[in-house]
Amino acid sequence: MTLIDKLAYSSKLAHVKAGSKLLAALVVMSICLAFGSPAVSATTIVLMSAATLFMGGCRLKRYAKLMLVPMAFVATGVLTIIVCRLGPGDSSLFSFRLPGADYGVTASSLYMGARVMLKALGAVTCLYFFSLNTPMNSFLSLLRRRFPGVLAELMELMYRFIFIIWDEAGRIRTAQASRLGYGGFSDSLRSLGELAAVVFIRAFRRADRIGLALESRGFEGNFEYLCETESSSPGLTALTALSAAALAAVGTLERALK
Amino acid sequence: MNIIEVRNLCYSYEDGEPALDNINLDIAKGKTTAVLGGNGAGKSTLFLNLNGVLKPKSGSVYFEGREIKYSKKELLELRRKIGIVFQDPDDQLFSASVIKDVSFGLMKLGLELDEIRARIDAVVGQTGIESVMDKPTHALSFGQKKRVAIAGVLVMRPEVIILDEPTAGLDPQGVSEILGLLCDIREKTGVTVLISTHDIDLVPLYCDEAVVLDKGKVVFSGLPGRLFSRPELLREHNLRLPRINHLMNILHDRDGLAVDTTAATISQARRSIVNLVKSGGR
Ligand SMILES: Nc1ncnc2c1ncn2[C@@H]1O[C@H](COP(=O)(O)OP(=O)(O)OP(=O)(O)O)[C@@H](O)[C@H]1O
Ligand SMILES: [Mg+2]
Repeated sequence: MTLIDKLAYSSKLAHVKAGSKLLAALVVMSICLAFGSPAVSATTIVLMSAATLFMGGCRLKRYAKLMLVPMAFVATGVLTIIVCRLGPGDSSLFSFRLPGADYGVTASSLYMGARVMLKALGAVTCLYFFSLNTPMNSFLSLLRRRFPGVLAELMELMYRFIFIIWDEAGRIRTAQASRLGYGGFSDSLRSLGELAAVVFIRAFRRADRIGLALESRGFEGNFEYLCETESSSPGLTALTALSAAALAAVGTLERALK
Repeated sequence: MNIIEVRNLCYSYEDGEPALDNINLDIAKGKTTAVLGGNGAGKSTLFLNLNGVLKPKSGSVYFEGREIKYSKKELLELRRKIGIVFQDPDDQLFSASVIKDVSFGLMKLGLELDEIRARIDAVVGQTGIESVMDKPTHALSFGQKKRVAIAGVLVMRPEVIILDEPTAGLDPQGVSEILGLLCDIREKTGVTVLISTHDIDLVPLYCDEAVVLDKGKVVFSGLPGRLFSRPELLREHNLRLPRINHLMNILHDRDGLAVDTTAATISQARRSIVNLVKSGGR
């Protein structure tokens, strides 16, 4: 989680309006899902990965590592599509016998699997384009403009305090470890229990102090502030339109050729 | 002229131990006052009583001659005029975005957007946080967070700025930058500054007045020079002399040199020693 957070802040697209990036991701993703064809999905993967890598400036190695996570999930899911029960007389590329029935991989199940896999990864690249290039702060500002009120504020505070509590837990853990707290298994369990207790108490106390600080700053029950200035990017909008057109063309072409 | 006056103030937390015990204090307008005292002496508690966040159990606080009444409207007004920089910046910075945090409070003053941006730009430059404006708060170092916290108070242009250990966690250059900045601002605007610190060497450099707290009581209040002429009082309350002052005392008492024992800063000491040498050691 913290890796994605860091990457987003260092993206070259970090200052572009969160709205335009969200729009780009959603438009491309809906076209990809609507066609669901392997060619459109593959084009989506290439386009959106290129956008993240070249426009956003994400390093290829990092990106590949991040892609491995959803890839593993999708692959296990797709396995159950590729391997199917064979009827009598079905031609298969590969088969094995289990008690009761024959199972195997057929040309059509392989095609189905590949199609689903590409479609899912296409959607993932779209989501990654948004989340790897949009700092949480700018996303929260967007949320705030769309849904004013307590929900956005709550998310903002949570986002801030996750890191404070995370830091605090890290410090306590280091302190315990330096005093040999995580030696054996039972030691570790006890130390972990203490850590949880201490983090809880500290979070409680901190909430108190934060309340005092907010009050000192004239907090009246609602958060008002200036948001980051974000540049609108006509380039990105144009590219979104272009990609949408290209994807639609690929999809239609594929259908016509069939 | 006193901007804040405290009369017979007592305060205790829920556990009942008195954290502040019959405090009487005058804070001079336009001056920088150092609030000194060991850990747990009651400095932070006193500050929170001054801006009305904590309500005294007994006694009263006067701001610009008027007693604080603790009505909601009056308190908001008071907090607009008294800005506090907290000891731990993680307590103060509630937003993950630096600009949001700095502009918080400013939005309520009813200023034009241009004016708001101009004020923020000016303070961002003064506190040297340009380079962290685009980072999320959790990616900042402790000292950087501290600077952001100070910026968030300075933009409000309060009449009194209270800094609870502003120098703890800052690098040496950061300390002189921040305190120098406060001196500048004070000269330009006549703002009143209250600083609590454990770094006693700063007091002769930047402070006009000193207050010493111990176990919730005021045990000294007056000019820093007078405080440093009473080393036994300092020792008794877990404090010490500024290093330079200490050196001048040793030179005087042990080495029999006729140096100025009240010199507490490098420049004062230098002047005294140069004079001594020029006059042939007598
Ligand atoms: N939230 C709290 N609840 C109960 N007691 C408290 C609380 N905060 C402070 N105290 C107590 O009040 C007394 C004064 O504390 P305070 O924080 O004002 O000291 P301080 O002078 O700021 O110390 P330091 O130099 O360590 O910051 C201490 O005895 C402390 O234990
Ligand atoms: Mg304190």
